[in-house]
Amino acid sequence: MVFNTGAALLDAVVLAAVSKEEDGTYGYKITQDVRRAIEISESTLYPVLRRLQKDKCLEVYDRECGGRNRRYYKITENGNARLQESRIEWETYSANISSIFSGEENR
Amino acid sequence: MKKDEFLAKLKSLLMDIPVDEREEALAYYRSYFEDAGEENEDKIIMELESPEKVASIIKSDCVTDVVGAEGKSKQEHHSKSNSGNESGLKQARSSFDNFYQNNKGLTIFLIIVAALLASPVWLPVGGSLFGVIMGAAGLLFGLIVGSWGLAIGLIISGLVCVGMGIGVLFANLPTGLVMIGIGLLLLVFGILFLLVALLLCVKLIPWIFRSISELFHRNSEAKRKGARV
Repeated sequence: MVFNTGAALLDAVVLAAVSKEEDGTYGYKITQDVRRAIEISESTLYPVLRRLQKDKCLEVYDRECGGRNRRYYKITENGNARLQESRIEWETYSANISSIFSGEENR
Repeated sequence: MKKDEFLAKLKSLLMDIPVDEREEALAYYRSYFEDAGEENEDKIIMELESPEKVASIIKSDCVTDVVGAEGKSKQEHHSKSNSGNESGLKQARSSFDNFYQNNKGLTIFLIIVAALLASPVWLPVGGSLFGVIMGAAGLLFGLIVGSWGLAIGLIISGLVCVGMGIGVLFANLPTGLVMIGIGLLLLVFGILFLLVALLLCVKLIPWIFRSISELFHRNSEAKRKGARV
């Protein structure tokens, strides 16, 4: 991958990955899902999750699973709103980039 | 390195952040290992590179740094020890900065001690430089005072000679004329030296001061330019 993923885009990708699961999902699974879309090292995701949690875009809860507690992340109203904004932004952004790449002009 | 070892090291590296932040991060990585399963343990440890790297990422609030480092971490993947060294260097550097910040008084003291220890070198050099400067100043002073003295002396003796010549003129014409002539000659030289003395005071002294200040100005300018480069 030659393109850098900026913080805003990374946030949006993580929010999208978490929002797929109604009941929330956990760190390892989020990492695997995000990695299907972009190259990201395992250590990158934790600060992103922590930040989204502090921004009240994600909420955290523990659920018992196989005799131990597993930390789950779930998207909030706030997070959904932000994800929706990002989707719209991405539409414009990606359409503009695609059009300039293909050499056609939007008129 | 095994999972427990990794987590223990990570914990010790996170001792300087708030307790809840530390617990949160450790819980995340502990469950990350557990969710990945034992069979993936080595792979994850390899990908995380080192507890030092994970700790520094947790500590860095600036996420753009984290994302920017992304591409680099892939390239540095082969030389794992590299990042360890780097962070060690960074730590050493920041601790030095801290030391400097906290011990400005001590730093100044050390500079004074170093200056004293180096005094056998700069004392003779500075002394001779001071001597040269003082000598030049003395020469100038002597020149000015001497020319004034010479001028005044010549004018006075010239005037006296002319006066005496006029007195003698009626008694002995040739002698009087010779004395008046000598007196006038002395007056001429006196006036000449007076002009030289005036010239020294009016032109030379301001010129010296101007060239000294210019020298300093040029020096400081050169320094400023040097600093910019």
